[in-house]
Amino acid sequence: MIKTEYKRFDLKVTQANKTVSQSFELDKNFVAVKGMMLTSDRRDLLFFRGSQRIEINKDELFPSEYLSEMLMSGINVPINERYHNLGSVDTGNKIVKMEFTDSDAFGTAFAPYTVYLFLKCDKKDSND
Amino acid sequence: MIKRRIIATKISITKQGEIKFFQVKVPFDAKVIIGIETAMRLKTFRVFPSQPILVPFDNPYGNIVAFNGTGNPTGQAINGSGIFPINNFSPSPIDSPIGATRNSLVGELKLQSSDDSNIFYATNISDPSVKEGLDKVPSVNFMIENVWTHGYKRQLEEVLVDANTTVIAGLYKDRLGEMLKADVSYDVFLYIWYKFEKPIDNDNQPCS
Repeated sequence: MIKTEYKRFDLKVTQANKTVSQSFELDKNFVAVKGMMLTSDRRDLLFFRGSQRIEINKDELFPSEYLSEMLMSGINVPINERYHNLGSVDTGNKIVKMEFTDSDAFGTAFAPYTVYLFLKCDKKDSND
Repeated sequence: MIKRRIIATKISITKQGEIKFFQVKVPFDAKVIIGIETAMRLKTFRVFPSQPILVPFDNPYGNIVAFNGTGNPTGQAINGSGIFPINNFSPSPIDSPIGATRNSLVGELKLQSSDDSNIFYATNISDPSVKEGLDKVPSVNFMIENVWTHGYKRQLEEVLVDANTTVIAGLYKDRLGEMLKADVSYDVFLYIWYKFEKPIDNDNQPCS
């Protein structure tokens, strides 16, 4: 039986104008990634300063200049529609890689912040 | 197996009224272009009149008169870097004296394929950080409406264009600097989504 499960991965940004790269591993029971969302403890900084490259199973989903604001959702968005729909991405080697770039934008002063990557995944029941 | 991928293009604008022609290379394995997304990010200074603006009944020129926050229409928009006449702003569709905060136009973008579809996409780029219709949710005192809290989710704008062409030609025209009569430095981001066919490994097909 396939179940839907949500995973959160954290990436810390401690320096301005730097790229931080981190790989996350999904559980072996995860068979597909259905949706994705980005948020942060400093949403304003993520919105104005962030961009990222994301790949799953060595397959690039978003290129390096893809702005973080494109993957964020406000509270005006209904809960069930907040995730960016990915269709069904095969998890393959179960590795999710994110290269996050912080860059100066007008009107923002850098402070360390954490980027939260949320994934909506299909999980195969371990009893199957 | 059909998959989706994105081509990211950054267009940097530094001069008032700048017009940029650019080309986007389409990968050889692209089958069809399925969507366009655009965004912008200011680099130098924030210049928008975020105050309410008034459109009077009897304005023969249709120009927008700024509301200075004290009940006195001034005809000028005041911001951090100086005072700009706002007569150059395009008229609002609202023809009653209602205060309305206008979304700020940043520029115009057009994309052209060398194939049959010709000019297949045109849009206005606007700055999402300008206060706009964020009042859909009742505001409470401790939670100020901001674009990163009350804003909507960005959606892909769907197009369906044959991707047999090798390049897409683009034209971007700055309107923000033109309106403000100042050099404003910003980046415009263009994301072109396309579908491509990924060869299946070990498909057990005989060699042709």
